[in-house]
Amino acid sequence: MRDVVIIGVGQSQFGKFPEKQTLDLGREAVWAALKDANVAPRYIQEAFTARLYVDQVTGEVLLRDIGISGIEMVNVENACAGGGTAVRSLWKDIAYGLCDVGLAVGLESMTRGPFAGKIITPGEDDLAGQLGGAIPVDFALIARRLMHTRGATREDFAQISVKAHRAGALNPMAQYQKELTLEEVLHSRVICDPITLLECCPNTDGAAAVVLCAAELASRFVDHPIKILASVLRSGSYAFEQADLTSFEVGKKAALAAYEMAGVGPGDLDVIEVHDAFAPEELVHYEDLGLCAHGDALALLRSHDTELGGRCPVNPSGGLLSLGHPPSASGVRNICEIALQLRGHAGARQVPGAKLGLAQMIGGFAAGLEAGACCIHILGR
Amino acid sequence: MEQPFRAGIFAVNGQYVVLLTSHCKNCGQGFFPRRQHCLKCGAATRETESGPAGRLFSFTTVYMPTLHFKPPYSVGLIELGDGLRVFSQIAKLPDREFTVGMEMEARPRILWSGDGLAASGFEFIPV
Repeated sequence: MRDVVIIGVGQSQFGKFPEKQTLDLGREAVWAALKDANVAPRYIQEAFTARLYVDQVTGEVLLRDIGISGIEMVNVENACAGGGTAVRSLWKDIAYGLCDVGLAVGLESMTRGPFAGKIITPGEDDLAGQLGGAIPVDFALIARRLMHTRGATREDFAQISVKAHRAGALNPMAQYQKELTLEEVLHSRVICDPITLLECCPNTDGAAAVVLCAAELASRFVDHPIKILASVLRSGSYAFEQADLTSFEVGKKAALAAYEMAGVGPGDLDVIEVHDAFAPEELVHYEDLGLCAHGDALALLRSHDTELGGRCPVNPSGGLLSLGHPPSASGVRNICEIALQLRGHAGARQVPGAKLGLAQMIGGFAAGLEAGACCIHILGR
Repeated sequence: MEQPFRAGIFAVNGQYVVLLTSHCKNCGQGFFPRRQHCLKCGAATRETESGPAGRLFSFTTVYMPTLHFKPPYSVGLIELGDGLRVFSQIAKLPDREFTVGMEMEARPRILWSGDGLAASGFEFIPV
């Protein structure tokens, strides 16, 4: 097994673009990543494309107009963990010598998809879906348990959104680039109590891409390769295996495996990006990633250590809350963010001296499972 | 015309509803809905009934429409006596707020209707 590095990152603008074709957003991201990597289309040997609301052969058609054809291409779906899954799948093939240079892309158009303007509900076959379940419902139930077991308040949840938007205001690619006050977040329309509108990620269209290559070849292309020190994907445990909604078994397992693979601990991390589709869940991820002891997530939040400028910034990009959340793109975008942070290219939202970072995504909600999948990458320079 | 919203999920017992569950003959793990084999140890299960009593483990009131329900409506996770947690519609009583740990019981309810068909089901109501 050999080392794999990120040599190029790119993303489209994230926002609502119902007039733009999803594949055009994807192409924006792919061109940006190829240019960043100094890699011409003909050097790409494999491509993995993640998309949730999908047409057939989405990657093949996406890359047709870039000038990439005839290579091995795989289309990937793992809900919000799809983008990370695409990166991991490419990582595996390069690490194990099946190819040297490849592309992983995640793209999504929510405004042109089946849930435009709506909350995402499971299909008719899903028992919880039939009984009024939906993704924001799942997170509202988690939030209520955080209130009951941890003493989390509505103000704590709102503060997570305020933190995200303060960072997002510094990110030119974000859907929302405006700071919000605690009052604005708290008094925005309730979606699923206690979660308010400004504590939910918006419907967003966007794409992100990375170019990976074998570490030994990186100097042919760039002088700032970012190493992938860990790449882990695990599927969710049964709901009956979850002691409480305040911790994901899969989140903990994936984190342990990632730290072991990278040979680091959570205390070594300089910068972290997590799935914050709904503000309250950030508290769960703090604990599952070992950023604090089990039960101490609120203390960590209230310490301000996870803000930009704090000891371990979480979501310096602005997170899904301000970037927006095109499900399959977010997992690639947050890996791009960590890479930019480690290169020192994160502009106004730079975490000074960042050397080690972690990008996590959790996704997929179905009756009987705690979640679909959790994907974690640890990057270093 | 009334029809259960899904077969094999619940049974009406007078004023109450019981949930049709399974428990593993070997390790005791419970399942809802019913299944023939244990997901933990693979052994055969036996058919059981759970409820109607339970405690409210978590809850939320939803303010956006979903497949069958217009807002506002409430749903929750109810922890049954045998430890199984089930997702269900819950009834909001006018003078009582939901609280975690609240005692609930399952009662029959029409969940939705249309085209002359009424989907019968259940909801948990504060005791």
